[in-house]
Amino acid sequence: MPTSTVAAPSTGAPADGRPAEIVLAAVGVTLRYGSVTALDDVSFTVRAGEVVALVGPNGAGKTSLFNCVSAFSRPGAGTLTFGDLDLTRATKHAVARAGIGRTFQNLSLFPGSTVMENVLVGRHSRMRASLPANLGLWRRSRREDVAHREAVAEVLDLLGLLDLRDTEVGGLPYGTRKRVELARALALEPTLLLLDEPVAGMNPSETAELTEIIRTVRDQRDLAVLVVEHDMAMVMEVADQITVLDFGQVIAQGTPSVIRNDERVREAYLGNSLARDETDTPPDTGPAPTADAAARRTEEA
Amino acid sequence: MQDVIQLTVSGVALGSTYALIAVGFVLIYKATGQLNFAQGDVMAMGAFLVYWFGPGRFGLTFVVAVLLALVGTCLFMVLVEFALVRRLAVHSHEAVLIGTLGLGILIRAALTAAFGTDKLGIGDPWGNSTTTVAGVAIPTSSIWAIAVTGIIIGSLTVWFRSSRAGISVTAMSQDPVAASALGVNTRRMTMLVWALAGALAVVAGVFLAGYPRSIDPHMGLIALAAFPGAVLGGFDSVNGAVVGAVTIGVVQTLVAGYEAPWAGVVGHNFHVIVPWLVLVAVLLVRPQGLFGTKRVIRA
Repeated sequence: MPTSTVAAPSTGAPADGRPAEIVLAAVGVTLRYGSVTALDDVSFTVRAGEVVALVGPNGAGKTSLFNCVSAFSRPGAGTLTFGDLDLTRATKHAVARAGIGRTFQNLSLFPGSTVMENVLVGRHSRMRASLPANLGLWRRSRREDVAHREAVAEVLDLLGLLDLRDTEVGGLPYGTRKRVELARALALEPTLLLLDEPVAGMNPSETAELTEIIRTVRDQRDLAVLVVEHDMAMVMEVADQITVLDFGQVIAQGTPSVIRNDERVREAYLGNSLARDETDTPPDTGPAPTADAAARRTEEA
Repeated sequence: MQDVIQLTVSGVALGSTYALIAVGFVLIYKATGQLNFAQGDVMAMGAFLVYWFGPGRFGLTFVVAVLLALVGTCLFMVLVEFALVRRLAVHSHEAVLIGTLGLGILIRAALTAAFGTDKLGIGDPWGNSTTTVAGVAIPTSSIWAIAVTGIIIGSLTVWFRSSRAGISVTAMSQDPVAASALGVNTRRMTMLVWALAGALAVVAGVFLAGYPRSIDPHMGLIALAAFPGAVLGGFDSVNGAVVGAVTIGVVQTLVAGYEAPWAGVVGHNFHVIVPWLVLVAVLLVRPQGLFGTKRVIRA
């Protein structure tokens, strides 16, 4: 069984031998919809300060896995733990409050609210729940409000959104809205950040910018990041560890250089998907050429 | 001229009570997509609770009776959400709609069984007293209705923008999935919104029962005139609901004031159906209302 070899956590250890804390641990996660097995015995870990990428062709189970981690789906078997929290039983809001922030594949913003208001919702779980604070009556809650707004301003500054804080989100360009969504997830002060196709639909300069932002927040906050992305160049650049899924199974796991040289990945994913993907994705983001480009770039470096 | 001013002020006062009901409709609809057609009957129940705590049974002073009615109605709405609506919402919003229609009928029947069909006073302190403003005599109850509604709507607006729960509800109304991914407990917020709608209904009931009107188990049907108000305002806009409901109140009162000469043509209680004519007109001409979001269905 290929899964038994790739399940070993040793592949997830940082290159410099630093024993980083395991933030997210999945062991044997299995999810079935009727007779379809979306996830089959999937195991992996995400450590603090580490970017783990989930890649694989459409329908490989990446989003299903994401939904399990954020408690939107309940796996039928296996364990999925975030610190002490059992993600297979937790409620969605409890998962968020415990420190898992996420963005969505198809933007899920509050279009009628301003950038500031959107990001403030991300502060929600860090706010006091008391009734007077809720009613905005308490002086202390006002001071708290100021603190929240300052924290939000900091995140907005990091993402270059400070000038747009009072703009309604609905009218902003796509790339900007993607950044607002990331800001909102960061405002939660997560220890684990889930990014579902963060650079999909972005142009190369926007992609480079966002890649840099992800690196920055990872380093600044010792953040664990789990990212699903089709843009292989971006994945190769940002990921510390890559888990490759196909038909719900893990077919390879390791560092970008390991994955790039993995025969099975080349055949099962990059090779086969060349014909498959060129029909439904724009040619400039097709996985094979960009993966080659990434390979060349890292070889030059 | 005095007539017009007096009628308009009375209309604004009536519209204010409609606004409280309409905002109750809109709050629940915005936050959850559900329609609560028991809103009018919950209002009647609230008014009867005020009567019961006050002159009807316990003889408590008016303010205390109102506070107890507020608490009782909020608890009732939380129970309704938990025991009925949540279980129906699993199936569809239509199930909730029919369920609340049934709940309304139940409330009406229960009130009739408990209190009979006599017209009763709730012991409000205003009676038929009037206050003269700039030479125009205005019922004191109208001034209170307008002032209290204004304060409540203003507070709600601030609450939605600045409190944790308010921001949560605003977020949830736009995207419940994203909201829960950000730590919003959508179940609890749904309960909160139903409780809030109950509280608004009690206040509306108090003003709708004031002199010269009174309470009876069917007063909830009168309050349904708030529904066209909410539709006129756009149904997913709180401020729109207020504008729409006040408009309905003013139009209805003006028609009531001037309909007598045309009684031979339109009948004696034409003003009762005016809100529903407005509803039909709005749905034909501008279905998204004055301030509502035009719906774009994605194929």
